[in-house]
Amino acid sequence: MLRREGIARESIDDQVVLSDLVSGVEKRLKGEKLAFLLNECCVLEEKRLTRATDAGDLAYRQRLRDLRRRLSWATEDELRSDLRDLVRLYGEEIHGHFDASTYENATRVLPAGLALLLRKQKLWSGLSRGLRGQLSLSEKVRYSGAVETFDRLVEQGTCILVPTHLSNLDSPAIGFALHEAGLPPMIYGAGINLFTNWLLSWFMDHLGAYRIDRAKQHQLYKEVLKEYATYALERRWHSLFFPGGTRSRSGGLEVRLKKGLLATGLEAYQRGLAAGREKNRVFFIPATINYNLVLEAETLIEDYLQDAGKSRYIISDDEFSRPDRVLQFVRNMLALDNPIEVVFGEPLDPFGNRVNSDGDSLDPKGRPFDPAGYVMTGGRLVADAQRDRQYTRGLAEAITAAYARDTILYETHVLAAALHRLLEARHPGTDLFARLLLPLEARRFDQREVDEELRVILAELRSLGARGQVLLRGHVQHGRPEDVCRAAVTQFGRYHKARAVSEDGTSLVLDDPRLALFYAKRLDTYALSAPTLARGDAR
Amino acid sequence: MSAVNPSATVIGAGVWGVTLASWAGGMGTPVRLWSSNAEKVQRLAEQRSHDGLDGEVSAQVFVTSDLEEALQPEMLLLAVPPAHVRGLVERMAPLLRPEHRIVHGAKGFCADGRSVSQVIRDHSCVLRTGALAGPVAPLDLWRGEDCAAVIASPFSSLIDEVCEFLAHPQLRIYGSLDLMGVEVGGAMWAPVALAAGMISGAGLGRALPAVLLTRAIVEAGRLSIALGGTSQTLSGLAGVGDWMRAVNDPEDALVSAGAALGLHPGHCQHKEGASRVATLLSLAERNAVDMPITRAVHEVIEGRPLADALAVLMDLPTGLEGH
Repeated sequence: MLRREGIARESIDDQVVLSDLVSGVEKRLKGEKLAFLLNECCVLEEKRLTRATDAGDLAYRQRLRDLRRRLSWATEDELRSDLRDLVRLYGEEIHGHFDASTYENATRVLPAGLALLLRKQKLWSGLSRGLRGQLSLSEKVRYSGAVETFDRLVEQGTCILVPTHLSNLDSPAIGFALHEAGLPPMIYGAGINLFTNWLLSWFMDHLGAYRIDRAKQHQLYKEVLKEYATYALERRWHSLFFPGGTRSRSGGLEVRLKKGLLATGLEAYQRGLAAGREKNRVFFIPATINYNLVLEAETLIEDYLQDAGKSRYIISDDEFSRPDRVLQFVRNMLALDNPIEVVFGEPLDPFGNRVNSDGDSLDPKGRPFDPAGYVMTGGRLVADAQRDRQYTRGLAEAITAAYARDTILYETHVLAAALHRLLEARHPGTDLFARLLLPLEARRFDQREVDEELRVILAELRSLGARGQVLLRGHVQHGRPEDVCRAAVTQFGRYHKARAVSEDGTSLVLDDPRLALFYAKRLDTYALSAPTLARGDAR
Repeated sequence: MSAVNPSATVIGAGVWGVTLASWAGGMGTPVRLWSSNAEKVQRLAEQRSHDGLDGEVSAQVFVTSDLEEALQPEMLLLAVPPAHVRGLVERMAPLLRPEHRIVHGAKGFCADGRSVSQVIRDHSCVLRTGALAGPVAPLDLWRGEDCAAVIASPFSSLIDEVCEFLAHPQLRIYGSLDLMGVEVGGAMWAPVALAAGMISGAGLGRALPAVLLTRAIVEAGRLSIALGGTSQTLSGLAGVGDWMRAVNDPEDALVSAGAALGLHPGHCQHKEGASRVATLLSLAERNAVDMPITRAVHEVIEGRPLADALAVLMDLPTGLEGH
């Protein structure tokens, strides 16, 4: 049964949302030079659409061109009117159309939903199999962590789920985990490129997704997005942000978070306080989404390794654009022993303090307190943007610390890290890019050497695990080095085009050092001792 | 409880605490002054005087030993040595509120290597912290000599607030957003003051004080960067500005202890100064930061002859200045 908290609580009048959005952005931009803001919008958008051919894009470009020409002599009232028109236009594009009944129906058939999307030609048979439970997704997407606290908090205020982001499977996986945990639906911003598939688009639109066009880089659009996110929180629509902004290209944990979006939580909290609203508290729930194998690993790591790729924000040609690869991955995922695991971390307030299930902030010693004083002086609410940026920085640090604690390391991560550490130890002073280009023979390791390195890593990780600083699974938790090795090699052989690592007699070969790097990077967050070479075998 | 409503409380009624409270009180701002020592509080309240200071404490200073009363104002100035910070903050923490802003004037890290502001954040709900540092000594301020200080905090509103509270034509207060850099500068005071004393006590020449100061900027800068601060801060009032005072003030307790130590290695009369040096060195080692001056001072404290320690320093390889 659908939980009636958050967005599921109310019927939404789109016109009211748009009108509130327009007035909210106007307030947010009070005192700004509108002509400059609109000019930047026109210039950047016209440049972006230089080669547009789509009729809609052409009309939009022409509209901006006309606006730019009028800017120099427009009156303040005319500028405000143009601003309102543009905000409404962007608002219409961004705003999702959550529909409670669609959500209820969709979640009932979600296990089959993925298959439907992937195998449209066998739609009905896929649906019926899914309904009979043959595609038991619940076994493949598991959740754990502070679920009970989360469950209590959705009734105490507004929750913002802030998960790690590695794959395009993250949204459906976490959506499924929320549903399985009996938690209410959340609205979330999704890249507009994901709305190109009509079926996926329809589902996303009605399940709480709102559109973010990352190609629009001008300030006005960013302000509209921030206002929409803040407005949603004020209306107590529980939200999901990926604070890393995009999928982790390196495979490592996010360490730099997008603070603009995180700051909307504090803004919504302060607006709630100012308005004297009940249940005005805002809670951040860090979460990790953990995979043994990541569908898009090959594309993501290539992007990370290419300097130019670092600025490429949207990958439109990754494995997700090829249904055959997605299908193969999902089939393999369903056949794998290891599920996707979602870990819900301890909730935080907008200042980075832990929160108990009653919604009280906790000091480092666990004493409850009301955080309103952080934004007050002498009992009065005081606006201070610089102060709020510092608070949000503290929140970002608390979230990244939670990511490290709640990340699950699997055999694939540990073996890949062991081999990369050995490669580094063999070639001291050689940079990463040079090591990736070493010939195959240089990437061959004796099994005993690998076992020794694994022994060191496992001991350190288990010590961290015992102190609650990381989560370990399978053989990484209790197994011997050779068990870790065997399991990882088997996993690496399951899906990727090229094997990251393979066995060759008594040797292990780092077949695809780039792909292995993607998995090895997951251990970067943990300060492990420097790699050693067993038997002094420095080739 | 007094009828006045002070806007700030100075925590700690030693020479530094009484001076700060009286300074602010002298500008007409009612200030509360807290000490856990009820006897001291009574003496201060009745006689308006402090053993270490000549003259009268401002009438605007309201002394109390009631912690709950002391923590009513939102602005708190912590004037206790680093060794006492943790115990004090643990005692205060249940009464602290998120509205509180705490500025400390402790020159040094706590025994476990955490900065004072970090200890405050780790043990209480207070997030807005700052440090007051620079070449401002309590006696200078008490006597009304012209001086300058730095207030560092990541929160610029706290900087403004402290400036408004303490600034005066005779006390210029600059702001810095680099709290860690300023705290490192304060912690470096102990090894630099001891080393300055050793140099003057042993009559080691006129160039060495200059070498000491400039190389101290570099090594403290390295530690600051390792801990998340910047190195530029150490070239300012909270770094070299503060340490220059040591070179020019042979009467300072640490400097004179350094002079005696240089002549009698292994016998540091200033136990707290020796402990601050050990803490700083251990922090540097944990962060893989090389601090040769601090190490040399520590070795002399441990008993190494000054000439030996100096020879090791002078024998270190040189490179590009600033590294």
